[in-house]
Amino acid sequence: MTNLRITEHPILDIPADTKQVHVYFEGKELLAREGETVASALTSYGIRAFRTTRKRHEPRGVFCAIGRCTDCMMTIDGRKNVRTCMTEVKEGMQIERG
Amino acid sequence: MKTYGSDRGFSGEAFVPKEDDDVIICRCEEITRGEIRKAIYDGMRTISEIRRYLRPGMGPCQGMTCERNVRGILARETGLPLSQIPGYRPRSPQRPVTLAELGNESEEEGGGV
Amino acid sequence: MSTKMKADVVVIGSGAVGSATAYFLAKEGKKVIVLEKGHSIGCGQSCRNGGMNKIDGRGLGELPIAIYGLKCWKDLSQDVDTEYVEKGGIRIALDDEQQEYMERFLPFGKEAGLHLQSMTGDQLREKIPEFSPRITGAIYCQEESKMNPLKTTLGIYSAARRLGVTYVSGEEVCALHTRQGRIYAAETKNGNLYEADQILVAAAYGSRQILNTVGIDLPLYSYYEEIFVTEKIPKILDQMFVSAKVTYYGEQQENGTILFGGASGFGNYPNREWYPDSYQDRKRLPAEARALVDLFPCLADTRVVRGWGGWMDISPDDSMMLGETVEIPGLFVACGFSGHGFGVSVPAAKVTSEIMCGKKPGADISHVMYDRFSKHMDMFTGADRNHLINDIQKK
Repeated sequence: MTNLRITEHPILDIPADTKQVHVYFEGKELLAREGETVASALTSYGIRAFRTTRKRHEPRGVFCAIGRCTDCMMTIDGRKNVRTCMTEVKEGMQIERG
Repeated sequence: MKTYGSDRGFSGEAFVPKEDDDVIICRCEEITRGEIRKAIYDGMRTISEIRRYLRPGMGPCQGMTCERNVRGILARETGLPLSQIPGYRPRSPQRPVTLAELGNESEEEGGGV
Repeated sequence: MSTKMKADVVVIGSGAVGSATAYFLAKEGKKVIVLEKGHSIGCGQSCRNGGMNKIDGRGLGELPIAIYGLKCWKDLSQDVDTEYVEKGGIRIALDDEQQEYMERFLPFGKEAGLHLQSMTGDQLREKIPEFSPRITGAIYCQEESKMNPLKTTLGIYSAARRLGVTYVSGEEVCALHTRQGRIYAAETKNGNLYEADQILVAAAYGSRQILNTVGIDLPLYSYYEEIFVTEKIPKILDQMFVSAKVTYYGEQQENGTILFGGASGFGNYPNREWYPDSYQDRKRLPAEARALVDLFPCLADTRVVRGWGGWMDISPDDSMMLGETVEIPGLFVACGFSGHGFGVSVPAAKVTSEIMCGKKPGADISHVMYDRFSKHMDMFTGADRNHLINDIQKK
């Protein structure tokens, strides 16, 4: 999976030494940054489809990114319907679609 | 004088589809603009009726995303100003709460019967 | 500015019963006007209930109508999208006393043609392991069904409207009027008059006050109850479930959400002034949440998404009130559904439309007549009540 993380920015100060957190997306290990959301970690790897809708079978992912729209919900550590844009990554976290 | 929820007569004319009928308005329940317009054609004249008939605003986000748009469609279809169209009725819990948390009342915290 | 409208029939109350009666009457060619007090059609119990048709546990007087419903619902579903499915229902006992109480219904249900099966708590958990170990026994009824109350009520309204029924919302009836002893018109708070040869009062608890204006008093009391839905979760059961004494009820809907409601033990006679509208009370949801987790321990971490409530009209024997009033020819009632009316709304509406058209009702309604509680009619006419009821049915 490609890494879309921005390492240099003309205005924002991006610290290079943020602690890495290991999370697992459908069993596959991803490297996330401490303090970021699950949605952010998945997006950095180019994963945009977080779930598929029940009726029209269409992909959904980040939409509002502020915890309002519930489009970005995934199953985290066995807990269903968790808003990934509002959930901070934790070491060993298991992230599943559906 | 037209007021909110009035004018329920059936004209007998066929439903007229429009170009943007396939735009999704309620993302949670996957309801399109055309379905909402058809519900209004079928007789739904208030926000509550549209919500109950089609389910926009009944998904996990409880209308946070679609409310303004559904009100707008009803306003446009009935010719009423937006200010006359109320929003979805808010209900507890404001955000999803687990059954265990909701049921966990103690005397000290003013709970119990 | 007041208006006058005339029709063959005026129906007061646009809920499932009122709208379905209007629909059936319109199919017979009658010109019908439906008057709804609120802004929205069916905004009372019809659009607030859980959409569960329990048959086991109904008052025995309602049983013929519930059985008639097995046919009526299927017929209606050809024309209206009701999402009606017969997946069966489970009635739950938590001790031997409750089990014994439930089993009293078995001979009556079986005689009526229902498929009922008694089972132990262990046998229930073999089929549906998620049920709590607390449950000691259950009765399964094959014919019990679920439907979508919101889609059904508004779908019936839409179909009736297409058949030419006139609906007026925001129109509260304040008085009925008679002429030469026969029903004549309904007057509304807006100052409008709706004249008709036949009027049906299907306004739940509001029926009582409306009928008072022509000297009839039905023993109804109003009671508030709450209900909630959870987030969508994987399927754990297809059947609806109720408690032994039908104090709570629940189901898992097709989209995976669990719906649950019932009495919270908060009290049987809440003061209506404290709850002027369908206003949630902070004690009820927690009590219901505890009850659901008690029944399904695996649901402790499932989230409640929304709760709501509604007022029910309860009759002294928990059964509906139907029929043409003997006091005022042309005046019909259909109320007192006591919080479990939705499942019988369509057959009750069908028999009401049948007697309003002078036909023999498709089910025996002799045990749910509106006046079974009062002796008023006997004193007034000096006649035998059964004799008079037979006369109405013959008309």
